[in-house]
Amino acid sequence: MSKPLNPHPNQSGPGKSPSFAKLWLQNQHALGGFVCLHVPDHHLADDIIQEVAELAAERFEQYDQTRPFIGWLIGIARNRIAQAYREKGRRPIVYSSEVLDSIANAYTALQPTDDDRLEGLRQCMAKLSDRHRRVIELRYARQLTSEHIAKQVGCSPRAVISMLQRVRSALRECVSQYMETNR
Amino acid sequence: MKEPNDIPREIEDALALFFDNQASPEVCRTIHDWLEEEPSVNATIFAEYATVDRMIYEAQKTEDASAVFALLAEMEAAAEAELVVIQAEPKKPLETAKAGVRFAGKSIGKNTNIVIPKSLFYGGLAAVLLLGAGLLWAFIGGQAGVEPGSTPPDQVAEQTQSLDKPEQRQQQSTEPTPESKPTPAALVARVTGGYQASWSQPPVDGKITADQSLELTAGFAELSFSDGARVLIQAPAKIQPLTPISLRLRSGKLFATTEASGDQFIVHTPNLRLTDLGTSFGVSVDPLSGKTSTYVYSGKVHAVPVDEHGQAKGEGLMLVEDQSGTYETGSTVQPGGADRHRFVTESTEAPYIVHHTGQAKYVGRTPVNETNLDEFSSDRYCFIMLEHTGFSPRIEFDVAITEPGLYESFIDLSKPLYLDTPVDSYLVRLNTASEELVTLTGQVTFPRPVVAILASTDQRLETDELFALPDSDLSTQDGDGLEPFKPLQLVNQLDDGDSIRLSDDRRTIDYRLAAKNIDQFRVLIQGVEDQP
Repeated sequence: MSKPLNPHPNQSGPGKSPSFAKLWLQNQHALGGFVCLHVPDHHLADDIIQEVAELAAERFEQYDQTRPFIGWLIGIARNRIAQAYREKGRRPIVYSSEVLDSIANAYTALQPTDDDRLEGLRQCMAKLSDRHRRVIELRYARQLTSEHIAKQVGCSPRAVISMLQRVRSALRECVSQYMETNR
Repeated sequence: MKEPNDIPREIEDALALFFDNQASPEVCRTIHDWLEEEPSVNATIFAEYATVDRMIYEAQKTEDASAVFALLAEMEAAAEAELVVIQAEPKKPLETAKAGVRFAGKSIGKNTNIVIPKSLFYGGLAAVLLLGAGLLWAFIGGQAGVEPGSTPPDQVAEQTQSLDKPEQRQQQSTEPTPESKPTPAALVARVTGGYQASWSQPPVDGKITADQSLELTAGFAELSFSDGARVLIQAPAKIQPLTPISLRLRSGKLFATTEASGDQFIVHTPNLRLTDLGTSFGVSVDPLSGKTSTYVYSGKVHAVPVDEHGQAKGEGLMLVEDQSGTYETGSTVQPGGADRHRFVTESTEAPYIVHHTGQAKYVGRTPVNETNLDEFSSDRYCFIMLEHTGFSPRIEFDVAITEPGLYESFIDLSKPLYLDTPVDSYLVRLNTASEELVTLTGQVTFPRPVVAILASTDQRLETDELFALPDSDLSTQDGDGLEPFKPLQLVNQLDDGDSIRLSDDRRTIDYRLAAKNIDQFRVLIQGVEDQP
């Protein structure tokens, strides 16, 4: 496979091919989000992302650098997700190709700003109330189920699920505002 | 950006379940259909949600990873500057990891999960091994002679666990070699909650390192160990967290649970080693006699007597759920001697109940009605139920108690109260399962001061419409309030009388309820505007 003369403009300085590590850094969250679409279980998603990274690193020479890196990763991820479902004997969620393309495009659009988005998220999370931060920590850092969190914070599991979604919604909005102001 | 309000409620609910990993195929189908409706717009919304979800997860993990790498950096510097315990290794992978990257390969530890792809794996192997060796080094107090390359990461936990043996730790920590210098200790736990906790020397930023001696002089503190165990310390207590899976309890009480992680946890007392083989147990050590008591709430605990050097003496005793054991130096572990009410088992950070102990069980906002009446019938617990919160009654009603003190008679305890400020309402309810007279005692601490206690049947009944949950069907029988409320009953008050003590700070209620059927009273505390 011939090496491209001009790497993707988003990914490196002029005349220099970006390293795998750099591209991975730029795209890891978007890939994580895509995998989550199919595999909301964070641990299983972790496994898949690890395997995608391994495969991508091995096959990096095959990557056509004129195309978005996230698209290439998503291609690998799709196969790996299907394989994971086969191994677990579960039927994958079947998305129409139109939906899949739209999602892939959406991730590609988000990708170049991944680092800024992360910084925005950090700032937005600092604004959360203690209670919300606590619930986020219990869910994401300690990986507790909503039932366990409910016991700890003194409300119903359903209320925890709703609360988490409100927080995600608020963070999504806050991060978007951050991106707008820092554009 | 499409505003959240533009997203149909049904979709918000579906996304909530989806990101909580609880989406059924139907829910997934709902999301898919929504995505298909307007792919370009809705896919962006979904991608934003999924990315935020993933980033929160990454950010939480990176925080832990950063702590580990900060430790590693410190240790590298210490190693370079002082003893050559750890040889400096290429820093490139370290810098990459500090930037927050996650790669595929081998994971180290539950929370750090720093992983490297094959192409970079070998380049990063040195740093990973350095990390493993570094942690090991920290755990053993900087013992010389550890070769970084000789400790594969997956063996670190095993070695750490073997080092958990008190006899080995004793030797290493109390006999420093002349060459050894102070070394940075490993972070093993964090303070993640508590109520009015007061430490003789508070952990800096809530971080607790290996072998740090701590004394909790007042209140309660929740520690979260890095391997997943949650430990509630009840003052006064002296503790020394040892590793991510163990601590030493010198005196006082604690409750440990690995319910969420399923991992092992070990508590060392001056004369006993308690190895948790299940999920949750309480331990107390008498500060004077050194007597150790334990109660197993679930799972199994292996209690092994140890000598002053931590050497096991005999096989000990295996305790299973609802069993307890007691041990005094020089004897054997005796079954019994502790009960489940001795320990504070609930999170001390719950927003609605700070803590409760004794024969009390907090069930949150759960209506009582015919369908679940049996669940709230018990000869062992009073149930504390949260009713309406942040509600301003703006109507006059009668209450019994508004001032601190001990109340053993409720005769003529009635005065009108008008509130136009928000209150939270709780029902404390004893509904006996048997026909026998049951007497229960307990203590509840609320997050804000008590405004009033409604003790009599009438007081409770007249305010049900205001405070009871809509689906509740509380008993309306006569005499389900607190007694004695009639002079005639004074005759029996020693046997079946109720009592309440409201603490001087108005936040804690001690109760004694005696009933053959139902006793219940309502507590109103200062409220805040109800959260959506």
